[in-house]
Amino acid sequence: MRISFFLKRAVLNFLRNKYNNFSSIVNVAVVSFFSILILFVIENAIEFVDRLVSENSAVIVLKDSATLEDIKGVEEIVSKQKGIERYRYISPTHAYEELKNAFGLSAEVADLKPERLLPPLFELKFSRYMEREDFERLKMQLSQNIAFQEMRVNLDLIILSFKFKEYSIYFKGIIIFIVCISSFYILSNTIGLNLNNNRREEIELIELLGGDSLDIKIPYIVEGIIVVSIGFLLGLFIAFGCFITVLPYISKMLHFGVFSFTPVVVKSIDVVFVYLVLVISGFFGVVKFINRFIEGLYEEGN
Amino acid sequence: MIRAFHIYKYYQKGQVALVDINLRIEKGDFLFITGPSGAGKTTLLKLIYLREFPSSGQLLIEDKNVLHLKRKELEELRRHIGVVFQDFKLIPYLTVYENVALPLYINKEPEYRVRQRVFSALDYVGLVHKTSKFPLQLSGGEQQRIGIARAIVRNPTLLVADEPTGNLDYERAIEIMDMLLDMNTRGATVIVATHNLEIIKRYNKNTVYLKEGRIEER
Ligand SMILES: Nc1ncnc2c1ncn2[C@@H]1O[C@H](COP(=O)(O)OP(=O)(O)OP(=O)(O)O)[C@@H](O)[C@H]1O
Ligand SMILES: [Mg+2]
Repeated sequence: MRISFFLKRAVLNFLRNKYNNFSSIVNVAVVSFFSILILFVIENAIEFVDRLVSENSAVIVLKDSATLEDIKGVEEIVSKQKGIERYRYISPTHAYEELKNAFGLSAEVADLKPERLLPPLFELKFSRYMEREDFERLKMQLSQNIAFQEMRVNLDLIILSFKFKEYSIYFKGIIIFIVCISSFYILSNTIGLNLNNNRREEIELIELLGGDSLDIKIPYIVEGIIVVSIGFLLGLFIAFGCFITVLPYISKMLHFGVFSFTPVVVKSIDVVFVYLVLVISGFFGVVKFINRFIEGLYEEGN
Repeated sequence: MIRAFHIYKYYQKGQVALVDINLRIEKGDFLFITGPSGAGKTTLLKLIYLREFPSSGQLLIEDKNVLHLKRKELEELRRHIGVVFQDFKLIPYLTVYENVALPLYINKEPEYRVRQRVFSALDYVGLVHKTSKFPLQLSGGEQQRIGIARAIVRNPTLLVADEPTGNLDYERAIEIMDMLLDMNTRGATVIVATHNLEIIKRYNKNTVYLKEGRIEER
């Protein structure tokens, strides 16, 4: 079969050049390993900050003068808002009861009305999926409500989490860029090194027999994919080996009474993405090199 | 079939290989090209089998100007040409069978056709029993015959052979030449470059004499 013939040529060529290919495999493995490692760090940094944010609750303080109607209005805003995991309304009476229970306050003694003591409150718990827009919208809508007085929240932490999420995209972009460039050059170099005289003759022969560009390139492309795949699996294997040994220690380190953090392993979709980027840019590396080579075939004479 | 008008070929660094070549080769012709070493025989064949292109002048092959071919047309035209190379150009890690099958795979022939054609070509050159050997396990003469099998496996309309009898003894050379002649009687246009004058005398065919890149009249 034509296809099996291509594959056979690719595999045989791969084996014939195993020393060059081995060093390329190691290069690909190193690139894959570090990409996955950096993804791991980014992923967990986001996760960590998110956890901190979601552990933290916000309090919406309403004006003393808030009517029942106003409170309903605020509840409406809060209940419809994305990024809020749960909320509860704490009426002055309720808060007063709680205080009383906690500190043994006696209203009779102080002769205080609960409304005077405490404003009506909403307690919110943000979900970790809250986006910056959700947060801004919430602030905006609240500020338009006449009963709204202030929102008490650890703003630094929330802003930090938004920043992190935003920057993580750039970081991922940089990783992808590095993966692209390295795969492109690693493979175009491999093929370059592998183009010893035998293979130059082989390409020339297939040209002269009227082979089209696929006839010439497929074995090299397949060979490139073999190199990338083995290198990637190797990098992945080592990376996951590291995770498995290191994760329990990190978990233990970040385990406190109130707050504990278990690191997450890199998302499989990201791993697949790294692989695809390796394959695709490797593909272009091979194609570019062979194209240059074929052009060179006819330049020498003119 | 082939028309050459005032062809010049310069290699890099101004090396002049062919000077003002005019040729007219008809369909079904058998032509020898001869001349001393460095006269430009291989260069002329390379122009004909589309490995090189003229530096100036016009070359028509199957009525197509080789300087104006699109990539697809070039591939198509090359598939009509069988080439026997001076240095065989067999792929060392493929078996004899696969080496001969290569042009058919390139033509995208179905597997059963490939089998049939490869076996009949190997039968023609008398090497069916070597199908699963590798080129380096064969003698020079046998390698040359594999080269011929690969050149004829697609039934080319034009068969070009560069020193096909290069380092063979006279008897082996005659065997090879007889095959090329037989292909000619079956309809292929055949062009053979050789500096073996004995052979040229024996076959008594049209001959082009090259010297220092020019055609010499005799
Ligand atoms: N790729 C090349 N680059 C530069 N010069 C070349 C190249 N190929 C051939 N030449 C030069 O062109 C001239 C003709 O060479 P060619 O190979 O056509 O001769 P030939 O008649 O086939 O010789 P031989 O009988 O030794 O095979 C020679 O002077 C040679 O040095
Ligand atoms: Mg020559």
